[in-house]
Amino acid sequence: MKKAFTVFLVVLFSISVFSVSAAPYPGAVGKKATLILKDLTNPVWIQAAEGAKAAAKDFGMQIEVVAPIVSNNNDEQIQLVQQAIAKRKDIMILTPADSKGIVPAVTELNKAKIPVINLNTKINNESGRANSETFVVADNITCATLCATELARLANGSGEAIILQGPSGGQVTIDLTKGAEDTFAKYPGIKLVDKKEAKFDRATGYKVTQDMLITYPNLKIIFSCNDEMALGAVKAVEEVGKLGKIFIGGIDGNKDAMASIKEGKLNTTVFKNFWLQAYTAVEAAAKFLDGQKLPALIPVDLGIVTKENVEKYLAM
Amino acid sequence: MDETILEIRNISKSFSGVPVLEDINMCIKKGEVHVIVGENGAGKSTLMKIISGVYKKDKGELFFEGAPVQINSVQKALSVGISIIHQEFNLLPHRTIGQNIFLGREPIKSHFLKTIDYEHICKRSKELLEYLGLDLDPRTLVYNLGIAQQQMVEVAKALCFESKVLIMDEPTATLTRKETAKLFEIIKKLRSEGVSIIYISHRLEEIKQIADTLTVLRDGKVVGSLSIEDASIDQIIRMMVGREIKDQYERHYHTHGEEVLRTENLGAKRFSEVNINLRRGEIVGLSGLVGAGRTEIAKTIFGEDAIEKGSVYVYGKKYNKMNTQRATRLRIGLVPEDRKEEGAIVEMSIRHNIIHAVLPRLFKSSVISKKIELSVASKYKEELNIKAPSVNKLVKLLSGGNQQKVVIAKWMCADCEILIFDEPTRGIDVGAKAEIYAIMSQLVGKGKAILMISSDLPELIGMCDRIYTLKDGKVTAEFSRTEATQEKILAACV
Amino acid sequence: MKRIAGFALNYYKIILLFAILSVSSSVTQDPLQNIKNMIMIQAPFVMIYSFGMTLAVITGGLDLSLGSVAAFSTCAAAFLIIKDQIFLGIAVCLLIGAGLGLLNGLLITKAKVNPFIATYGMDWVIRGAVYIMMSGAMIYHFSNDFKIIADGSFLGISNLVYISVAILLILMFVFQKTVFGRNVYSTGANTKVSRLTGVNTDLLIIIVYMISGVLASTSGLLYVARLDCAEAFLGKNFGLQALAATLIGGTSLQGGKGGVGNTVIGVLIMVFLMNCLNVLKVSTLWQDAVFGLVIVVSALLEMAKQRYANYLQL
Repeated sequence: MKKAFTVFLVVLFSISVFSVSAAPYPGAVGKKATLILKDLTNPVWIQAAEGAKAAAKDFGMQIEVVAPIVSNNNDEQIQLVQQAIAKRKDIMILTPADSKGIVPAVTELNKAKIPVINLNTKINNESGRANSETFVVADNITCATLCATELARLANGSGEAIILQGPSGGQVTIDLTKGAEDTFAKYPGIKLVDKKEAKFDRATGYKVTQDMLITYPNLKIIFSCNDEMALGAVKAVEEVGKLGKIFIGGIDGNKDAMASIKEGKLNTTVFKNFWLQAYTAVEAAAKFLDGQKLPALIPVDLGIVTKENVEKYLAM
Repeated sequence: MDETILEIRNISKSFSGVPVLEDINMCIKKGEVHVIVGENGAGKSTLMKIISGVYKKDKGELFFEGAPVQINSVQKALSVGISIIHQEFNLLPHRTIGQNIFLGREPIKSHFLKTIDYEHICKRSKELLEYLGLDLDPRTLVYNLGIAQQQMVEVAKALCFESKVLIMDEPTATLTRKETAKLFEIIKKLRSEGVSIIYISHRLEEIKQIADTLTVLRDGKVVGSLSIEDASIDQIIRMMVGREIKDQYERHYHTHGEEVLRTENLGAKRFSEVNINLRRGEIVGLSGLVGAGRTEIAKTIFGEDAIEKGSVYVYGKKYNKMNTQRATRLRIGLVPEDRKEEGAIVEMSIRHNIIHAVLPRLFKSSVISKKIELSVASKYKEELNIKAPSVNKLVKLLSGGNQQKVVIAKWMCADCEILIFDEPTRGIDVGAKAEIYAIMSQLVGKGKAILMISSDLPELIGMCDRIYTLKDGKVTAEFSRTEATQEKILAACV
Repeated sequence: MKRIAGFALNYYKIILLFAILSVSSSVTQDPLQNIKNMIMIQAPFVMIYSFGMTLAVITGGLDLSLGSVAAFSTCAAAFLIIKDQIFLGIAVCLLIGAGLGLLNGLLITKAKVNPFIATYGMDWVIRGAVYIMMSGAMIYHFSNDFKIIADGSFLGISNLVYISVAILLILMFVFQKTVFGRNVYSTGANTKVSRLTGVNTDLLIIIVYMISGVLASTSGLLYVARLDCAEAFLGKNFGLQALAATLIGGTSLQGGKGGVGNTVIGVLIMVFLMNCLNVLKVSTLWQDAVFGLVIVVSALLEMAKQRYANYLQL
């Protein structure tokens, strides 16, 4: 009995020694991190949470993943930051819902000397009082540029275009819209005729697209700020028999969107790889805790998904 | 003493073309209690609202202390010296007595900061309360006061305005006998100091005690003004209804049938060990002061309140639990005290209300036939003489008496065997009262049984075969029709 | 003048409908297709769940959990429907709707929670439950046998129209012509009087919330069939849209008044107005404001209608 116990202890000890020695960033092992997301209900953010947890496991860190109950709520995010400070976390990975609104919370983090890894959406640091160690990003403007360029290519660089937006004022919508507008502006043949809010959801995207098809009979391009609205648009376009004549692009790269691309309905989407974004952010945190210096910007690979390469992404 | 303070000359008023007041002339003397009586709808409230600036008159003039005045707002009336205490008080329950008395004209302490001088409010309020014989802290929240005390706060508010004319609309409707006596003392005190009081009441018995002068209104016209010494109750009633009511309480007494309702050691929230019974063909009264548990007993028998102890026997069958569905299935009907909140759905039509209780039995297939509905409702409207152009009229547009008839019609329509009437004639004018008494007599004549709760002792004695008296939730005595007198009953109640 | 004012107050909603329609038709190149879109596709969805809200409002309450009930019941059913258990799936969906409605009803009647708080709270609970159930996944690519429910048409008229009109007629019959319906109105107008008249008011209210739940699931199911996707965020704005349609239709929050017929008009005004703003190329930012204004103005007009009912001999 006693012997068995000793063996057990030895095994336990060796496992822990082994795992510590195997960790690429020994300084990060056992450290406590908090990841604050914008939302934990949308599939892409759930992927992000999984990516972060996988990274924490790989680097021997403890991670708590939280998000506001009301998605994209700045006030709740600030409260979550305050809770993390109270719990004396070692590092904070932050995805702000509101680039400017989050600034006071980041200032508090700076004061508490908790390092901040900025993920996905940039913290506005014009005041110089909201410092972060690095910015891990699959940049939204780049996303929009990729998607809009593909749509413009499909439409031979001419025709009327609309943008389906998320709720007004959201940072993602602002960035994506800017990226798409700038891209379309490069094509003299493309005319951006309208921007409509469709609340990021499929049913609204469907309804708004119906109205848009009536309003702009010569519509050629629909740029949607997420895949859900894009799929609603696909349904509306399909019902008037204009699939193939109108080109539709989404952002995010969720499973349903890829399946639709495979069927030849949706034309394109941008795979933002939220899993990899979060993984990269946690890895950056581990590096920082291990004493390494971080670059100001860590880009995460983006992929433009089209009918030709969709199989590759579906397999991921 | 004979100096006229307020004179009303040729005042007329109509609502959407229907004249409500026609050519009213009246003189209020300084330091008198001027009682105004009249059936519901006679125009008393409208007249008072014109005097106090709530409504605008169509025609006529008002003279205050001999000079013509234009009263076009409540503020104007107050500044002239006329205030009104409505039946429903205008008090903020979550403010203190003092704050309520000075509401809207709080004394300012510092003109710079506009801070309120609470010390002054407290001091002055205390003086007023003391003057009224009330030992209350002006910092008490109105929420914590009883009805009578709230009314005193209203009086204090009026005094604080240094009102010369004080209008009181049915001030004793919700007061107990003791509280009423106290109110009368204060009225007399005010009168002796030269304040004129215009007093509206339904309770003819009170008028003799308090009035100096009496004006009777009928159908928007002044029937006559007379000094109280010259008036007898019969004469007043005659003037009010325009006809003679020989015997208000017309009862034919019948031989009683079998017992339909009995309680055995019944107990619930406010009462205990109540044993009463009720037979076919009789009216049994429950007498007691407010809070003695009368209404609670009625609601417990009817199943609205839960039975905590004992049981109810209906047609000889014992029930330890009761709910309103079971009670109605057993053909019990309750005509509650609060007509507008519990008796009828006032936002709905007469037809809706009359048919309400009988619905599931009338339409067994569950599909409503409008034709049958109309004919049934019209039949009861005729039978009970409900005064309305059609059964589609909303109940809220009817007078109190007609509303009550609608509630009774609902239970007659459902063919109830046992009816509980809780204060059936409260706030109802004399003419309608007589009609309701007649309906009750008719019902027991057909072998129904009635349990009647009333604070009006003459009415109770006039109508009932037997009377139970209650005190603090217990039955104290039982009187037969022949034994019952007001004195005996009162003695058993207090 | 009196006559004109009376007529305008009585029929202002119909007048408004035609006014909006003529504006939107005059600027579009294909007004027929536009009207077809609105009446055959957009309105039926909104109508069905708005009926649920209207019934709850008639009882003197309201049902803010419509959207989450729709999401929860359809997501649960989608697991079956994707395996081609279509009828079982539909049955499960409607049963869950009724069950959640029962829960709402019990909270309101037996636990005596204010309807606003009960259904608002339940909305969060149910929405949370559906997020947990789906954990970020979506269920899509249903069989055509299922999708035809919402996609199909008969004699050139969308199935959605048949379904919503059938529901409308059934509800109108039940709530206008039966003892049950009459008692629901009485209970809404004055619960206490109804109870004191021997009506089982608790049971009635519970049944109404169950019907409301079933209607929410039905509209959810139609959305899923139409959009070919069951997801956790379905119907996030159902509750407030339905309340808006109910109020614009003229069903008063006091209870005991109005009806599903009014709500048809309310929904049409809402759908037509949104469409009109879209085809007029009005910025989305303005749409919410216009929408709120319509709710407030229709409430004011309803009040005016009541106040001057006598004067204008309505």
